[in-house]
Amino acid sequence: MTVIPGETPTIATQGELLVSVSGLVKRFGGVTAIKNGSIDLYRGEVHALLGENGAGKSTLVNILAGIVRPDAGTIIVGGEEVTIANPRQSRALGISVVHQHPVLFPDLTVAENIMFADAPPHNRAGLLSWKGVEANALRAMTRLNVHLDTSELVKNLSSAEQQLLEIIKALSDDTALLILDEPTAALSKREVKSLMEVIARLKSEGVAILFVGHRLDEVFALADRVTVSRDGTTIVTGPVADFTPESAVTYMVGRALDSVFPKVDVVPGAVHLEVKGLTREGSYENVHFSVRKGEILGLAGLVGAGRTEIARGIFGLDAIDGGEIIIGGTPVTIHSPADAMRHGVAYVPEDRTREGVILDQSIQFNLSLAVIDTLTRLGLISPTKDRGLSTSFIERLGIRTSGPAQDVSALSGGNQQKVVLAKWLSTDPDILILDDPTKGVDVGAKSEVYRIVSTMAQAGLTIVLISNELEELLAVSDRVITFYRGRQGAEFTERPFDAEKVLASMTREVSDVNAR
Amino acid sequence: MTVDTRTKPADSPVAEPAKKRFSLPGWFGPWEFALLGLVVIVMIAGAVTSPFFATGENFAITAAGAVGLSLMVVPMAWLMIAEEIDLSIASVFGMCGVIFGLSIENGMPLALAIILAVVVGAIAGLINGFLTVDVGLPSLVVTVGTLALFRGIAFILLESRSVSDLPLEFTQFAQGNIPGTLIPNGFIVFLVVAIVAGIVLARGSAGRKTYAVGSSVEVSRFSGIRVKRVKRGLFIFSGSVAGLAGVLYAGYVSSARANNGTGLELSVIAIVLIGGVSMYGGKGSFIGVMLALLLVTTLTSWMTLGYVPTNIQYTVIGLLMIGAVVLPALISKFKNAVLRRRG
Repeated sequence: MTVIPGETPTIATQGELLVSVSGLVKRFGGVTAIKNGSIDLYRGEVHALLGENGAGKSTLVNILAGIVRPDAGTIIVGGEEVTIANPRQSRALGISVVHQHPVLFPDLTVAENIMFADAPPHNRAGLLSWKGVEANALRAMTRLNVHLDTSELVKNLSSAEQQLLEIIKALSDDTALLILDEPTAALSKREVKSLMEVIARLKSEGVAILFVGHRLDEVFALADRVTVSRDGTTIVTGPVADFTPESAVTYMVGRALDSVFPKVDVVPGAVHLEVKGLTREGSYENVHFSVRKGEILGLAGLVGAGRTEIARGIFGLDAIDGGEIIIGGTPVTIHSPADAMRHGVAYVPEDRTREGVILDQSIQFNLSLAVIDTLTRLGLISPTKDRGLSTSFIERLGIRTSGPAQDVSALSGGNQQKVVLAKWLSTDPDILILDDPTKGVDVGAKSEVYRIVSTMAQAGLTIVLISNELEELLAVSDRVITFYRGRQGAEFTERPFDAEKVLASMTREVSDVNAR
Repeated sequence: MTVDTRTKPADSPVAEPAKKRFSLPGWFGPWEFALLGLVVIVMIAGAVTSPFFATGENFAITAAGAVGLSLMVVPMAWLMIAEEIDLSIASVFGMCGVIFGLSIENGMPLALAIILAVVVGAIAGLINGFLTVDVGLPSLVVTVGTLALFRGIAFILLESRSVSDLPLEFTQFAQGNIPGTLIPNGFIVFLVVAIVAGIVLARGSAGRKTYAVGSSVEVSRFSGIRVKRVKRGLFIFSGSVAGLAGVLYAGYVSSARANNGTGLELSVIAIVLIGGVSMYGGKGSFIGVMLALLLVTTLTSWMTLGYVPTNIQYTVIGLLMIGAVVLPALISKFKNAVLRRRG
């Protein structure tokens, strides 16, 4: 374990030591989630905990939140060694957690959502006091200088506003440590600014903030100190100035980024997929792009920018209101996935477990689903062809399994994703649309997925890649187009791409004409 | 997201095959094995307690009497695997019998009358399919409505009359056996339908799509399966088979009446559930459903021979069904608890 020297508190970390975790070990069955976890948190600092999926970040958070109990190690809070047996004890120690998955009620108002954080106020008749609810909400928001409309429904808030609301809900009067576990929304610079203001306010009150994640741009904008963990071990910790985005990634991954996402140079062929003026009201507008054979086109944008919707439109899942899809030089009409498949389009969907695989069916069942009619004779499936298809793909893509009869639910996320890829490669597509293909898989599997994608590009497939992981998108794509709220932004054609510029275009901080 | 304990066995390929000393084939799992055991127990108990039970005549009468029920079980199994249901099936059965009787009464040739009744059944299925698939209502609700609707139409058409003047060659066929044997003709009709449907469900692409749709409509749609077409087809299948069954039943009892088969849908659904088809679709084998059909009919026959009142018979079948639904839920709860403890 290398610990970067220079633990001398910087301006921002002048506070006293609040929480000190060391020698932490946690096993789940035969799997070690944390081998040697340690972290020190000071009052009034923003501390970023970085790591890939599987690095043990969430387990550490869950230990501090009292959800999971460690097997070994010491936790010192305010100078005293403690055991955190349950979430109530964690709260009593002044630890507030904003969990990874949103816990807001979308159909209730801001005030009602804040109400559920504490005991709801009553009036003299023992009924809910709406005045009290309102007052509590205003008080909580004033503390952070946030001004949301208390009567607004949460589903109408922007993702950044929802994030602020989550923080307000999590905070109590005696919060000493606020943990933000992988805030899901990618934020524009303006939104980061309002989050920073809130965080600055909490810092000035002496609250320690632990920011868990892997989005580097946010980390470098917010953090005072950084701790990186990998494979359950704390690798390095130090002030943010000691890190660059590149060095942070190298620490997280254990090797340089370009070895994780190997980029194979392919000389692209003729244009194979082209969309002209593609429009779906309320989702995307006037989208133009073309992709060549052997080329990987990256679509960059924030969650909700319309990229998934464009993919769904091309694949025939949603109707398009206007524009043309041209495949191999001829305009085509696509009304259903079956139509799209006939034109050689394959779509690896965004939500693997809901749209990609049937979890409680076997690998064989899932793999042949898209091509089942080609495996039949007189309406009956040939068992040898059926099995042969899955055994060959298990080998080709290196799916780690006990065999084709194993249920997909028993596979790891990465191997499940390979099943989805195999299912689509079995259709022998010309065009492959990948929607966030590495969501929730560990770095090894990511690397494997992109190696397969590279092979496909070499084989002359036309590939459209959507990813919420900007670094990956930029590392793998030949060309990148940005989207913002359903509108097409800039196009970047020169590798290596300038991440700053792409991000700026994604969030419309530059040439911001249409943003409201 | 940090560590998913469930994923581990997959990463160690040696773990799984090692414990595979003995395993039942996919189409004959523990559930089917248990049902077979129950059938054997009922058979032995019946043979021991009643001199009339284990006779060819008894089996022939039981089989002939259950032809209508048995036929309707076949499409219901398909529908429930696709996570849909057709509660109107017995009303279609009654209505199509009435259509058949009235057509004969009005001088229509036999073959044409049969075809007309089956086509009406198919249209009834199409209506169920349209309301479920295209309008997007739950089939449970749609078919509660059409259960009353189709039965109502049967009563409007025939009121409380009955058509008993059916062609002799038809009633003789419906009541008769294969010459020289005790095997009822109607049972052969069922057997043909069941064998074809069973093979296609287990091995055909239509069967595979039915399981896929029942497991996940979304994944099926994303895989290019025409989900609506599959479901519509199943409702039409259900209606046509119910129509055919209604016609055969009218011939068997020599009478087309509006109340033929009233309440039979519950027995049909009970059998499919006892057969191990999940209420949530995607699970269950045709063999299991056939064994459940055998279990329920032999059990009913045994109880009838022992003069067990009908109400008690219903109670027993009801208990079996509850057991069939509760048991898998308990098993999965237990499994989860064990997994969590190991967690």
